[in-house]
This record gives sequence, structure tokens and C-alpha cells, in this order.
Amino acid sequence: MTSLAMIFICAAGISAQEPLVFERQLISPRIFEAASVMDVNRDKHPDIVSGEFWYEGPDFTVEHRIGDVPVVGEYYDDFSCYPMDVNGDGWMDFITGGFFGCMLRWRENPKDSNKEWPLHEVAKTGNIERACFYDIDNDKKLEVFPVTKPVSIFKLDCTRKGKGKGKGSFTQYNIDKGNGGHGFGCGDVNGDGRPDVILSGGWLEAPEKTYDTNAWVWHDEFKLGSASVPVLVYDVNADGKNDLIVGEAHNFGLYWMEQGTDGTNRTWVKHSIETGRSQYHDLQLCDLDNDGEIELVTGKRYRAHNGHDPGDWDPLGLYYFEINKGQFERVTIDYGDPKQASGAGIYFWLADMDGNGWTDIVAPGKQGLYLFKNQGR
Amino acid sequence: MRLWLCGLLVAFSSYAADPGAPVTVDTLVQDLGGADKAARVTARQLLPKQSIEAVPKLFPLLNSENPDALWAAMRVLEDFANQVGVAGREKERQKVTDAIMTLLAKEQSPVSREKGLRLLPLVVPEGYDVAPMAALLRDAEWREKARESLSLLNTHEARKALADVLKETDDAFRVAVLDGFAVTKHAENVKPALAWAKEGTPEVRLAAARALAWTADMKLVPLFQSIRTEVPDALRKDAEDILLRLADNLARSGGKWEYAMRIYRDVLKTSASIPVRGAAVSGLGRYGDDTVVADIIAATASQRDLEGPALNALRMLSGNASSQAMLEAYPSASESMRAAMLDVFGSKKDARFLPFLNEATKSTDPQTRTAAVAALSASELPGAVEALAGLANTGSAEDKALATGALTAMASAMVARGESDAAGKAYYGLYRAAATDELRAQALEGIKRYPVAESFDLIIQHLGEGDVAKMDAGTLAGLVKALFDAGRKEEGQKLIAELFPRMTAPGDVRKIVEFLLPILGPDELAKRLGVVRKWRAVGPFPWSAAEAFTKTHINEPNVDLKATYTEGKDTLSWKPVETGDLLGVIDFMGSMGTLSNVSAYAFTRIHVDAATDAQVRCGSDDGIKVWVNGVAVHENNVDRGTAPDSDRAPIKLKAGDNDLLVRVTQGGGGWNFCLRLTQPDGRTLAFTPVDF
Repeated sequence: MTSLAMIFICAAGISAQEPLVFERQLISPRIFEAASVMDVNRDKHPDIVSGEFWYEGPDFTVEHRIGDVPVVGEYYDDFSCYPMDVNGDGWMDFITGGFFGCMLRWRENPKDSNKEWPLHEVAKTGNIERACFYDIDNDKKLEVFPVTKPVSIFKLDCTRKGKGKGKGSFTQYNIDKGNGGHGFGCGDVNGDGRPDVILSGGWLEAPEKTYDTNAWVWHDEFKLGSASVPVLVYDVNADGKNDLIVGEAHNFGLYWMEQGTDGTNRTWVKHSIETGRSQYHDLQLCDLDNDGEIELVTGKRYRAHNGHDPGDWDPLGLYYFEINKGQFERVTIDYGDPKQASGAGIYFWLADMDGNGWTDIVAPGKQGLYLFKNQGR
Repeated sequence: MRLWLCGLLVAFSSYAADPGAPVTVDTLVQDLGGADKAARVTARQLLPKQSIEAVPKLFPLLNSENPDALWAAMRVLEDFANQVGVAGREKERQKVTDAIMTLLAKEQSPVSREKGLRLLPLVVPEGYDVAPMAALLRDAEWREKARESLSLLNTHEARKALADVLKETDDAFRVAVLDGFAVTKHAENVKPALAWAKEGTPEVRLAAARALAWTADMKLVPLFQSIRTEVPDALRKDAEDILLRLADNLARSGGKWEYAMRIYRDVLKTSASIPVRGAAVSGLGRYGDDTVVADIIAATASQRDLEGPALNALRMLSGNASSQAMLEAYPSASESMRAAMLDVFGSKKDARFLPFLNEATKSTDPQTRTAAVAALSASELPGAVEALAGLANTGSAEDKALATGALTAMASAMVARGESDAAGKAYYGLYRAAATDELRAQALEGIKRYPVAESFDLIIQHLGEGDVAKMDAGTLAGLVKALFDAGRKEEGQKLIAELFPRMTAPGDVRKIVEFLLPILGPDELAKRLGVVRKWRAVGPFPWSAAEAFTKTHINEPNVDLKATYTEGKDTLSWKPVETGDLLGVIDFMGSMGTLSNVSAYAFTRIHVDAATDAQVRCGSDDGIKVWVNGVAVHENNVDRGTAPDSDRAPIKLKAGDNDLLVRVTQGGGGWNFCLRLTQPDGRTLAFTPVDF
């Protein structure tokens, strides 16, 4: 593919940095907004899980029912889908939650493709805008953040003093500080090696002992507004300090907040990446083009507020951005009318689905569920 | 069924020459080819219901000299061909196919062979040997009809026959076969087409490329580029057209958008053919985004012939980013393009384009002014009215006619869309611009039906009997202000009394405040509206949408203002909250913080001299529950922003002091409420706040 693309480029007199090529496959016209990838049936082929169904790899043409998901208007109450072997039986389950049901829950893999997945409630948490998953305590296992107020951490209970298999239950920790709103992220803001928590109105500094919840320190340093979930923590300009990459989840714009200092205090300077497109609800970082540099992958969440957000009726798009130390450069993967193009939904997934060494994109949303197979350059 | 059919046949006995003769396939075929038209019609209806043994018996009629008989025989054969195509009739389908295939034999007449080729695509099943059809591909006289038949048939065997003939035919027919591949778009045709795209003559390579463009395969891009370079000059535009077809498919297929845009841009920049460049511009418009706007406009700078495609392309580009790009590129466009773009701007119905359109109405060029007027009308934006009215007042007679016509059209469009304010503004503009009494009267009628602030003075001048009775609260408030402004205070005061019962919609309160505040002042207006502004509040308490108001925190509906409540590590107590807001909006975010999934309580006490029925009117962000004297009178578990008078509930007040308790929930975002008390019909309720 590389050589073919290069021939074209040379013939057309085009620059050397070439866009990736993707093969788009419509997996399902269903409008669930969250999707992930896991080997559901342990056949060594990654499968796609989204809403009430999972789709069997490697072709994804056979679908299996998971179970009912409550419907509220044009939403399905299923705003995340994270694979985790919760009960330690060696079969991958997943964790989800929704805004309307206010319940963090997990679906248990029934180990039989023809059976529905039992639903387990973890906790009544309040409206879950979209759950996030981070290794907050640096133990190599991810914890669950339902993105609620107060900030809650759900740590999977495991055998062998926390180092073994999941036991099917979670321990909840609440941090009663901070000034949240729409938006959530996790990453090391102050360079102490500990993941901090980013909220819309500032950040929570992680203490030495993660679960000493009173020891978290609130820093009211910025106002991100109706920010993406997640807000990404990344050293955009390679100056040694982590910055923030933020999408406007329900408005126009995509930007990054540069972390600096005035000599005494930490400072944050806003830099626009985009101003003309809206509803960047989900963002991910990934070396999508295998060049050793991280790219930003994101897209529009179609009809994020059912037609009431600015730009709701504008074309859909799925993109990746070369970060270039802050000189972001957009590359369009898909663009156009929702009948013919895809956005990114509220919870999309990155994985090499076909084992060709290039990371693919599973893009759910109200436009349908798509797989973009990365063919490289 | 057979009995039914016999009955039907008896009913048609009159058609037969011999009414007593039995009806058979043979007699029906005879009637189909005979001279009796009525009998032919009947036979046409009945024959398809016979067994397929009728099929070969119909073949002689294909050579009939009677065109009606030939036509009828073909329709019956088509019916048979279609009927046996359904599941479960495979054996019959085979037999019918076998029979029709005999029509292709050499000894058959040309008409029979031609009809056979027309019928076979309807009936030949997948897996059937099409050798008789394929043989005709090698007959110069029959090959085109055979190709068309096989192409329509499009079974694996048909595709193979066509692919095979590519190797042993001449270029002209090769092109025809490949063009058929472009229509059928089957994966099996890709391999042979790819071979000919690489190795054929220029015409054949182009046809093969056309047959491949639908695949949206990135491997084709360099191949198509090389074909473009290598074909003779006379064929280059065809090669470019095919490249654009590939770009269309790349854009549509997803995942290759950037490459599609590059092809469009490359062809636009380098092609010598104006139609091809126009097609490239169209592609950019169909599939592009804001980044292509500058390319489209730049292309017109050197070639005016591209303005048409460019304007269509700009019209097709949608979304905020594209509109912004057009605004930015507009100054760089040629004069003629700028004038032509006005129409595009109007079609966007986006207020950001209005300054350009308004400015264009002042142009010295009549064509530009005409285009601007049309675009302003098409924009259907209230902001267009002023410019149109201005042109109607100051322009030439021709401008005036154009502008008034545009205002009339705009007003009608706004009425149809239910946009009362915009319709009112258009009618008001039309009134000011109208050159005839008839037009002015028409405009005045519209103004009265859709009154807006600027037209109140005009309405007062032309108030007719019954006009006031038809007006809503907002309109009436505007009229009151206009009367006061005109020094007619007595008339205005009378109308104020009419106002309050008419406040039926949540937005009415704000309109009344807007107009009456300068007249009554804030305190008097708040008093007349019955706004409650002094409360004591306690919170925040945890809350979720699912629990609504089921969980209690202060032992409500009982209220102990001296009590304290423990929530986590916080001790909560009642604190005074008072607002200067005219509508009495109490903002909990200010007093309790930016929080999510919480609720708070507010309490107050009012005094009335005598027991009375009343109404509580409130708005909240988010949900609200109200108790009066310990009785729950209203509850709305909702996620919304505050609008005064969103909710109403009837209440009973006792003589003396009355307690009001409110609980307001908060999912996320804003967190506040407002409340006022009125008589049951909305008139002012006399009460006084109680200090407690």
C-alpha cells in the first residue's frame, strides 16, 4: 500500500506526509453510542460489543444478543462499554452505565453465544455522563470512574490481596472535593508520577496514598465548560509538563490548555485546535500511523443533545490529528451526511482488529456502528 | 382452483368462435394470434395461468405479421418467465429456460432470436450453461444484442462468457463489454477489467478503468493517474473523468476522504478541459468540507466558465465551518463571483451572511442589487427586513418593486413557518415601503396579526374595534408602553389591568417586564406580579433523578428553621437568601456552589387578610416541589432551565400567615428557581411578606 500511495502522491505532486487509508465497514445501523472490542467467545478473534448486541469477529456479520438496554427518547442508557473480567472466570465481561439509569453496572459473559448476559448492579451513582477507566493507583489494573459528583473510584476486588482475579465486586471510594461539571480526565498534572483527576473546574491532586480520599487537594485553576469525556492529559508541546486536550462536548471547538508557570504559580493558556466543528465528546490518543508519535483521534458525537447543540445538523466527521508539538493538523477519515458518514459516538474504541499491525477504529453513534480498518499508508 | 378456473372460462364463453368448444391452451394461443381483439385480450389474461407447456406453443406468434399478436405473445412469455423465477419452481424455470434458449438456434428467424435474447435475462437461473448466448458474442451481427442480454443476466456464467470474449474480440466490442462491467459492478469482473486497464489500447484502458472506478480501491489511483498521462491528448479528458469517478467512490466509501479531495484538487488544477474542471469542482462541493472553499473560489478567478459549477458546489457545502470559510474567502473572489455568491449566501439562511447581503443592496450595479434582494428574501432572516425596507424607500422604482415583492414573500414564508416575530417585522417593513394603499392595507393587516415592538405605535394609530381583545399579553404590554411613550397614560393604565389575566405562556412574564418596567418601576412591578423574593434556604443534599422527591432530608413538609442537618462532614443550617432579581430568581449555585446531583430547600411566609383561592406560578432549574401550609401542591421532577411561569398550581391560602416550602433539584449546570403568587385568573394577589 505504501508504494502505491507514494506513486499517486508523486503523480499528483503531493507532500510526503500521507494520510492513512481506511476500509469502512458498516457493522450495524443500530444507534447505540458506545462500543468496545474484546474476545467474547475466546476464539482468538476480537469481537465488537455495542449496546444490546455483540458482533462476532473476524467478519462481524453474525450478531448475538446481549440483553435489553433501556431507551430514553433517542438515547440508549449505555454510555460506556469497558471490557473487564469482573468475576475472574476467564471470560471477558464489560462495565457500563448511563445518564438516565444513574447506575454503574456490569454485564456478565454467559460463556454461550446464544445466551443473554446477566446484568449486575455495582452502585447507584447518579447520572453517568460516560464512565472512564484509569489506573489511578499505579497497580497495573484499571479502576472505574463513573464521572459523577462526588468523584467516585470503584476498585475491583481481587483475590490474592488485590493482585489476582476479579471477585465480581468493587470497593467504592469518594473524593468529596472539586468542582465538577461536564468533563473528566486523569493524568499526572504536576509531574509527581501520580495520576491526578481533571474536572471541568480544575484538577484534584493525587496524594501519596490514593485511597486517603481526604488527602486529595483541589486546584481551581481553569474553567473547561462543557468539556469532553475524557479530557486528555498529554505533554502536547514536549516541554516536560503535561497539558490538557479538550473537546467541546456540546458546542463548537477543540483546544488544548498549555501548562506553564509565571514563576510562582501554575498557568494555563488556551490554544484552539478547531473552532468550526462541534460535539467532540470522546477523545483518544494513539500512535495510529505507527510513526512513533502519538496522534489525537476523535470525531463528532452525532446529535449529542438530540438536535439541540450548536452544529448538530452539520456534517459528521471522524478524524485524527497529527499533534506536531501543538501545531495540530487534522486528517479526515470520514466526513459527510450522517446517511453516508460516521462520527465517533460517546465511546469509541481503538484496536487492531485484523492483526495487520495498524490500529483500527470502532465508531458507534446515532449514525450506526462502523469499523474503520486501518490499511496504513 | 380448477373448478374456479372452469367457471371463469365459461363466463368468457362469448369470446370463442364456438361457444360450446372446450377451452385449451391451443384455443387460447389461437385466439391470441387471431383477428378478434376481444378474444386476444381474454387469451392474454388467461394464458399465463396455464401450464408452462404453453411456452413453446407461443413461439410461432413471435413471427406473426400482426404486431398486436406479437406484442401479446411477448407479454405472456414475460409473465411465464417471471412466474417461474420464484423459489419452489426451479424445475419449471429450467424447462422454460430450455425452451426459450431454443429461440437462439441458427435456424430460428432473426425476430425469434432477438426476442429470445430479451426473454432470457428474466429466466436463466444461476448455474445455467449460457453457451448458446455466448456463441452469439462471436457473431458480428448478434454480438451487441448478446452482450446486452448477458450483461442484464449477470450470472456467474454470463460474466465468464463476457470476460472470455474480451480476449478474442476487437477493441470496439471490448469497450462495449467493459462498459457493461461498469454498469453491473460485480467483483468477478474486476480481475479481467484490471488486466485490460493495464494492457489495452487507450480506448480499452479507459473503458476498463470506468469498469473499475466503483470499487474505490486505492490501488487504482496510481494506475488511473498513469492512464491519464499515457493516453493521447484527445482522450485525456475521458481519463480525467474516470479519475473523478474514482474520487467520488473514494469519498463515498469512507476512510479515503483525503485522497478523494486530492484527486479533485489535482484535476481541477491541471486539467485543460473546462467541463472536467467543472466536474472536479462539483466533486469538491458534493463531498468536501470548509477546506475546499478557497480552492473552489480560486478556480473561478482564472476561468469564469467555472462560476456555475462553483456556485453549485458552494451551495452544496453545509455546516458552520464551511459557511465561515465562505465568509473568509469572499473578499478574494472576482467581482462577478462575489455578485453570484450572494445567491449562495441567501440559501444558507445564516445571519452571518447578512452584512454582505445588506451591503450589496447599496451597490451601484443594478444586477448586484437585484441579486442581493433575491438573496435576502431567500434567507428568510428577520435581519433582512431592514435592508429590504431601506432599499424600498431609497431605491429606484425598480428596486422598490423588487424589495416590496421580497418583503411580501418573506412575510408569507414566516407565517407559513409559524415565526410570528419575523413575520411581524416583515409586514412592518412592507408597510413602510409600500407604494400603494392596497399594499399598505395588506401590510397593516399582517402587522395586527403579528405585532412586534416597532409596530406598536402604528397599531395604536389604527386600532379597530375588537383589536385589543385579540391581543396576547406581550402585545398588549407593548401597546401599553407605546401609549405611555405617546403621553396617553390614562389609556395605558386601563390596559395594564387587562394584562395579567392574559399571561398564559412562560415567556409572557419576561415580555411584560420588558415593557412595563420603565413605567411602573421594579418594586411596583414585582408587587403586581406577586414575585416572592425573600426566603431562607438549606442545602445541598444529595439527590438523583431516579429518586425524584421520594427521599426526605428535613422531615418535610415540616419545617424547623432552627434545625441543623448533617451531610457527610458538613453541618447544614437555614440561611437567609434574598434576590433583587425582578422575577425573584434565587440562584443556589451562588450560595451553595457549582454542584451536580443535589437538591436544596427554600422556605418563606406570606400574609393575606382573608382566606382566598390563589395560584402559585414557578419556574425552576431543574425540578421543583412546592408545599403550602404543609400540603404538597405541586411536583415536577424535570431536567430543564428556568422560565418564569413554567408550572402553575391552584392553592388555598388561609387568612393570616401562610407557609411556603420549595425543594429544587439539580442534575448539572444551572440551579435556581423563581416563584410568584397570583389570583386564580392571574390577576394581582394582595399579600405581604412576613418577617420570621
